Amino acid sequence: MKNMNVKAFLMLLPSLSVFGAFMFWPLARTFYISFFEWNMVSPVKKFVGLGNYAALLGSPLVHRVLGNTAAYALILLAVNFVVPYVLAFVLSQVVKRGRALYKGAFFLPSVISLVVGSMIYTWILNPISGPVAIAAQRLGLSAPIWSKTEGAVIVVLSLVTSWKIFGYNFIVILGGVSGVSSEVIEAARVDNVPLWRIFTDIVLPMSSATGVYLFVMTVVQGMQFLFTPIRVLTMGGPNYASSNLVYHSYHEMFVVYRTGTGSALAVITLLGFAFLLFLEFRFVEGRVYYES
Amino acid sequence: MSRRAAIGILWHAVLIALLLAMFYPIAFALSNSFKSISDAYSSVMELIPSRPTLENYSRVFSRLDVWRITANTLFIALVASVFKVLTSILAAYAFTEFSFPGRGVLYFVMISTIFIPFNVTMLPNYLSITSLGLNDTLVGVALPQLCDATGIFLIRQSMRTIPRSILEAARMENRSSLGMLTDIVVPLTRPAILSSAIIFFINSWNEYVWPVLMLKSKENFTLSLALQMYISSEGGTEFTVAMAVSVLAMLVPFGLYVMFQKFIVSTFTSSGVKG
Amino acid sequence: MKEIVMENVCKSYGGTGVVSDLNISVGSGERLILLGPSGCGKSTILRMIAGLEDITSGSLYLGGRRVNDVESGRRNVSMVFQNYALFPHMNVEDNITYGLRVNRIPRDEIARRKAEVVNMLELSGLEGRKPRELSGGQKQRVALARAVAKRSDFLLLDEPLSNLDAQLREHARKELVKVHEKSGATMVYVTHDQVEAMTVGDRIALLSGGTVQMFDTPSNIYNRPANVFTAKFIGAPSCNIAPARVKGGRISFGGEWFAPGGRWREILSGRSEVRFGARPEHVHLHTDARPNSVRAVVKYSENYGNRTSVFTSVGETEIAVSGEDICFAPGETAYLSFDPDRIHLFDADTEENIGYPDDTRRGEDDEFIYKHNVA
Repeated sequence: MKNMNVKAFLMLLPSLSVFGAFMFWPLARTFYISFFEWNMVSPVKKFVGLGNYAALLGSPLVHRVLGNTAAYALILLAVNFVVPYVLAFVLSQVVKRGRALYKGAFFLPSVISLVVGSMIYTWILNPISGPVAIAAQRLGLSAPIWSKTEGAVIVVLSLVTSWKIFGYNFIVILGGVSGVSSEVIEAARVDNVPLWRIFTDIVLPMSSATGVYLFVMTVVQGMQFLFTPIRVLTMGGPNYASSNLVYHSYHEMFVVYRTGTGSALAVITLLGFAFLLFLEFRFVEGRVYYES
Repeated sequence: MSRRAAIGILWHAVLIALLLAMFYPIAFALSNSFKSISDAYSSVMELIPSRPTLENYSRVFSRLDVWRITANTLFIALVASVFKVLTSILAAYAFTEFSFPGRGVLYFVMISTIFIPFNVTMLPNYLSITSLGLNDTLVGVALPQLCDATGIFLIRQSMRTIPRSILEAARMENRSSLGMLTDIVVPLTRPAILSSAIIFFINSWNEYVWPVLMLKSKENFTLSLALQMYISSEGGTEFTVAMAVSVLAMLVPFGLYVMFQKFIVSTFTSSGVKG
Repeated sequence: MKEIVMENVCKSYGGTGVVSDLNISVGSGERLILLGPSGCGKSTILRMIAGLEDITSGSLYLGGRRVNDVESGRRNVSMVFQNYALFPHMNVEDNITYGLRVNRIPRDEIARRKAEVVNMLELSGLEGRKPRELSGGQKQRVALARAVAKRSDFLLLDEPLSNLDAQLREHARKELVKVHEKSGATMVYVTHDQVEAMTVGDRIALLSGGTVQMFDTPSNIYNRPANVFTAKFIGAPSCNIAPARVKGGRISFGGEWFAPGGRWREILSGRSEVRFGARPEHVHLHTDARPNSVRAVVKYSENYGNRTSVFTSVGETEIAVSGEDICFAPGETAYLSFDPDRIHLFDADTEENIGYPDDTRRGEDDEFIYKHNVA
């Protein structure tokens, strides 16, 4: 049996060393750096304890970024969690034809680079010559210069990111919803339960393992995906109105070289995600999960 | 017409409208990449160019070293996806076939890396790669991407569906663990391995964050970085060229997806069920 | 040198015993059946022989060699799995030859063996098919062919016929015995089906709760069950077992008395209680009272076509009778008589068989030790 342990270890060695060097070790290092004031190049790091955290939590700018992050999360969840959930139910119960086709087609934009997406959307939404602006003009409306408008900028960047996330979320949730035993649903139908109640009373609870997983992943991935359009299109502007936690930590680290506060922001992001993960485990407790 | 049929048609209409909205950006990029700049401005809504031209593409090729950029992107994507698949297969097999002390905890820890955002690791990784002297190199971009928890997860899920007795039958033939992996396990988990590989490849092809931190010199640029040059505010006049670059960048992921669509979709469909 | 010997073999998972103190030896070329209800440990024993489960304590010898720590692949065993465990991505030919190729058997030898088993198991024409293109019976034959082609000294089968339908099973069973006889390997066969056990086995180890209830020839297991469990497990309909009182060489259940006579007097002396056992096919049913018969009331009967089972009650005790031409209506009174040589009496507490009036009847199977009949 010892022999077996050695074999298992050897097979895990490649992944363990990559994870060790580029995941766990940096994690610890970021944690460490977050207690210092350091501009990345200076040979001296100044220990400030929890000073970076205290400064961040008292900063109105960070409050703003947190607010943006929450707004992004809400929009992303509405578009990429609620909508696909309902559509998945519709496709598994109401209209059954064309399911494979919709699945394949909705997923397609997910394979396209976010830089490409950002680029195309800037042109579509170009306030002077873009098709949206022209269409609005014909209707007698004027399109706002979204990249200079607080609020609108969050909506547009969420939209660009959603283009990437929607299809993946849709097929995952469709898998969860289709996994609900059709006999249970038929039993409810025989009892004349209306469709929307079948959705809320049967399908939602029975697909909740997938649902909760997807909820968490939408936020976790979404915040990271947003980085690209923010970096490419707005650089967090105007006046930080489009910056989220992930982008702002990058901004601190690599733009203004305050690696301590940047790292502290990264740690805060991680803690936020860890909290979501914890919630996930609480919700799907007792279900088959990573380790069954 | 029955009420149910009417509702069905209504929902199809909703789904198709959504589909059109999602495909519009692709069509938009494609059509404008074949228009001359003046045509593009005068008739931006036109989805089929009335006077199609290849001038944007020839401009892209004359201005950018497209082959070099593509080769860079391809190199990173190939290295990353091949290594990710190999390390994932080995790790997934270790977690499926062997029971060793701490297996559950270790698996949990490795899978949890899915939830670690990149901003937590990017600064120290930047520092490590720099201290290795690999800053602004393709190897430096690829190095931290040699392993992926998603792959371990997807491939292990698939390995777990192999009946135990099949592995036992091979074990009784005096086959080594590694031999069983190549003879039995890998052939039986091919769909999961293949779709993981494709997804890794596409993701790496599209990767922006890490290359933008790493790569400074133009001869090392990947497609995403080259593309970015056309987005800046002064890129305004280059609209149609930008669309041509976009189309070029989409081409490979698009083609791969169309070829392996069935595998990819079904792998993700079943992956979500178990988280 | 193809014997299998298990000495004090125990298996437990984290403190829970699954098999305890197993002592079985199987002769060269013999067919041993491990029979028992689900959860009795029979598959675990087979898997220990195969090397797929560790042995917690005790010794396992294959061909005289202690193999506790020998890896599965080096034990010279081959196995047919319950679900066949065919490699789904290989065709029939590759499935059969996989083990041979892995073990670097010369190519012409592989070809010879393959031809032999394909011929033996009527698989010709199927060599290029994938497992999913085969019927259940064909899959079973491929699995058997794969095991036989290995020409190992020990052939292990884990419920190999349980996934076949009844008609196929009978044919496959006969074929399996033929194939085994040609191979000459020592065979261990796990089943929960008593018909398979009786027809295939040279000897049967009947298991329950991880211990051997009886280890003997099919005929002795049927005719001379060592204990109540064995008596009830073997035979359909199941053996009648009734708590009985004993007085002066006479036995009583349901308020009726009868004297088995002969040497039973001696065996019964000193006892006041026993368990009385009689197989339904060994109970005689009469319309009128006979000497030494007991009175019963017919409750209901079941017609199986080739035989009829009549369920009667003697007082509170239910006794089933089965035979070819018996015809009784519910409510009728009937009289039961028992052949003294065909009844079984068990100790009331230990449920062990307390003996037979005529011990010479065991003659044909004398070479096997009647281990578990502790009176």
